[in-house]
Amino acid sequence: MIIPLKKCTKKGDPYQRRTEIEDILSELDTLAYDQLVARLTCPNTPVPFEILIYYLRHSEIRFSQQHLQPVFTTFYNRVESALYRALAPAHFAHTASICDEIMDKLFEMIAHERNSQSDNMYYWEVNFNHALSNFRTDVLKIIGPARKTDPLINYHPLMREDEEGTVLHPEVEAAAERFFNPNPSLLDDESFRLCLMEAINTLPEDEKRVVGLFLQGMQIESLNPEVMTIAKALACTDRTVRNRLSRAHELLRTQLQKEGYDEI
Amino acid sequence: MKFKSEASKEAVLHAFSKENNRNAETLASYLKRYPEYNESIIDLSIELLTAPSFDKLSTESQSDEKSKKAWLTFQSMLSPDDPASAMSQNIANPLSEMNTLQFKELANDLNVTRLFLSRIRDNAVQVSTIPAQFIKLLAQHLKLPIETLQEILTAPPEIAAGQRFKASGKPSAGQKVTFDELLATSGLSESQQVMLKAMKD
Repeated sequence: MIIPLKKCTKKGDPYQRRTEIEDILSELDTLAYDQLVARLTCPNTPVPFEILIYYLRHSEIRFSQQHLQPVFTTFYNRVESALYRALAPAHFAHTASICDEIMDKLFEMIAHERNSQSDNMYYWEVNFNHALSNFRTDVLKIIGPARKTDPLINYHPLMREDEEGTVLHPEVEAAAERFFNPNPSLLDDESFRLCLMEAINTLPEDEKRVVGLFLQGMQIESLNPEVMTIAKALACTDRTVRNRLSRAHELLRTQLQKEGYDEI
Repeated sequence: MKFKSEASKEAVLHAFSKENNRNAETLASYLKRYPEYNESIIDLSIELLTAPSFDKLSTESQSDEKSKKAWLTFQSMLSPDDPASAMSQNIANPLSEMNTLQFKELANDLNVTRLFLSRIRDNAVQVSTIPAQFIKLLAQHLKLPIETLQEILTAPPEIAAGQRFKASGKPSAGQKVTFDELLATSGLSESQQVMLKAMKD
């Protein structure tokens, strides 16, 4: 039987995992321990991290050392390699120690979860990427290189007071939109994507929201009043949206060129 | 009222984070349905967008040494009743720690021969064939959880300390026997065998 998430809404409805995760768990639930471990540790068809964390954090599954150790090792190796590759160049000098720190804290948390049979890590089974990303950010805040060296941290937008009235040159606006609609092959490049996303996270809040919505495919404006637009979502004019997008473009372009993406 | 609204915000954000196909349309539908949480939904959508895809990034590395060390550290943090903990591998067998008198008394209490009990003590019997009722009874006498006793008895067969061998070869523990084989070869009386057979499920 699959162990449900203990976390419930105030109405008493239990929280759910993603459907694809529930489906895989149902399939695995029918296997004997040996087959199950073989499937969880198979390098050719790796299971999602949400599945591995399920089998690691629930001691109720009663995995013995013989069964848990290979699952642990697979999880350990995969998380470690992903963390190494996901760290931005700004952290390269400290990569090994940062990864070790994140891993140590993560496994302490999993051990605590097994010992107390609590459900503090329920979200890791729902959206592992988001949970690990937040966890990594928390650890970096404590041990990461001082953020004052970040070129964007002291940035103060110069045109904030009159951003409504500022009309940028159409070419500047077009360049910004082109920048955020890059060649798909560029976004498929995982290391470029990581650099871009990391840089977006350092933008001032207003610019970050505009860029974030734009990259998710939301339109800046629409003649159809039924359509959700960035301007509506952020309760501002489309002029403001364009101005923020152009400012973000400038900041991100500078940042990415420093990382070696000169053609941007 | 404020409390109620906070809780439902959490549920809305949870629902959004577990959406299988998040895109502008999904986001727009949430923003329309829950305008009161617009800002939080937008910020969450951006966090999810910018989070690295750890599944895609991961590869099986070869740092065997490091992962083994990490495993031992992890294992040492687990509580002793966790079946994967280092401790659970080393739970002392209380039957082995009894003195002769205690062992004899326990055999009497259980109405079995000492030979029968010693073969159970030495893990010479396949645990899956021992009736649950007998395991429960033995666990009660030893004041152990049933699962713990089962784990202890699942370990490989042992050669009892102090046992003497006249053979010229090095003594080794043999294959585990079934409960039925144990009944037939442990010097039990007929009534004892009937009583033990009756415990079978």
